[in-house]
Amino acid sequence: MFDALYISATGMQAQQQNVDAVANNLANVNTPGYKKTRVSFTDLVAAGTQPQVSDPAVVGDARFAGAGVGVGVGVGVAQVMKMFDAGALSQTGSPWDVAILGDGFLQVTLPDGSTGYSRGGALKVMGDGQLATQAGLPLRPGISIPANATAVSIAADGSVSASLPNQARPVQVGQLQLARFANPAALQSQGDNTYKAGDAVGELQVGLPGQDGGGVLQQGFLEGSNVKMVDEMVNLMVAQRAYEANVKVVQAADELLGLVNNLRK
Amino acid sequence: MPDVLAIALDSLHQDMGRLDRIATNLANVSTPGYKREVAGARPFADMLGNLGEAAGATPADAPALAPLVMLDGRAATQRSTGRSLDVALTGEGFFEVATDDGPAYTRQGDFRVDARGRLVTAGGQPLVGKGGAEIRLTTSTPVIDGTGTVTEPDAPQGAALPAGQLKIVRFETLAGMHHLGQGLLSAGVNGSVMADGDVRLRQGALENSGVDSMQEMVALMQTMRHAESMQRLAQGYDELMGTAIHKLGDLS
Repeated sequence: MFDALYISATGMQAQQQNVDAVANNLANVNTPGYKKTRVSFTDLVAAGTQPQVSDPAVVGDARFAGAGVGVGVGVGVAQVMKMFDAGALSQTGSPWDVAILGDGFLQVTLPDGSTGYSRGGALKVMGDGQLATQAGLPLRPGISIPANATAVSIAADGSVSASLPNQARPVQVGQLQLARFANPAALQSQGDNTYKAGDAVGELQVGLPGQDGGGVLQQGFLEGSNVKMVDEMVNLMVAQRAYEANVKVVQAADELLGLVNNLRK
Repeated sequence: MPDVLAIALDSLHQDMGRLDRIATNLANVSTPGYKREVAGARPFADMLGNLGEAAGATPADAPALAPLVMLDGRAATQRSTGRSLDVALTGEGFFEVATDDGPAYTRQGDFRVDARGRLVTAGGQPLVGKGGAEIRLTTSTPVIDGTGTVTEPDAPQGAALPAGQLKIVRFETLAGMHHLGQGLLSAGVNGSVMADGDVRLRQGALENSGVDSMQEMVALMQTMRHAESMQRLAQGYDELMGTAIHKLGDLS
């Protein structure tokens, strides 16, 4: 029983996953609406390891009972989660840019017909007049913008109004809703800044923006990425040095096995 | 004289056990709230005591003892994360967690909310409140104050009532505490629930791993050199025996 090699291997694997997450976060440091990923580690233990003695006189001896029980066998990844703390809002002036100030997600219809969730971003009008995200996923509930609309305004409470040439006042064409979860960290990223809800996200609450402590909408703004460059650089350094330390242990374990093999010259 | 080989073998065994501990510690150098495992040498009295029981036994009969593993329970440094479900204990004590095998303890504070709305550890075990009940949340942005009381200002209904209070347990000594995996530890000696005034807790921070990589590297060097000298010892003894057999049989 010589575990040092395998233990260090778990350490290297975990740190590699950490570096992957850091790389993805750094690559998206300027992606509007991107939410950073965090890898959280936890120790692994060989449960119920027996003492390393085979002598029947010793097994059952109280002095040996504690030895070898619950010693660590490395590190594992407990979860890879999305961190949904808010990014900084920046004004763009484009009427199609929508940011959510506070908690909540816009609902979109994914190509397979299921519901996806988005933190907003640049919207556009599809050929059939439906309001959709930049990736072409129509919002849910669907909002249809009249083809002759000259301007569109989205209020903080989610109501979408269109100015029409023959009307003095803007006409409300629909209202956006926000979805909230007990555990948004478990949302699965689908790319294009959209997420899918699995079983782990908890109770889904759909309501109008601004209700029950939910977020409100901001037209003409984009939510920036919530990646903090300094944090990621520090994480990268820590991960790299930790990887290095594990490599050293692998070398040492190999050397120790070499010593043992060379006991007899 | 064959004792020399037995002693060298036992020492090499202990070096391997020590290297296993160093490997575990270094693998967990960035695991939040991890407590360093320390391999202690068996007291020499253990070996002698073993001999006393069976008269006429020689040290070679002493079983190869597994190294003692102890936990370094000192509080480690903290890092700020800004996440509302990250909680660090700045003083002593442990969070109590309910598992299938009874209560377990942890200082790893990267909590989350599970599908049923319970506050759970990263591994998914529910935290235990002061009354013994689980803590249920409806939002992922609760406020946790210095005494562990959890309130939900963002909750859709009734923000005034606290969702619960985290149960923080301290132990007189950490002897017998060992890792259970997933950041959990078994109970120590004489656990008692800490009073509100004694609990010191910080939201938005995580306790770093208790592993000091410099210390581990030094221990790694020591272990390797010790193993090397034990190898030399075994080789030297082997040579000695070889020479003895050769010379004694040489009658010319």
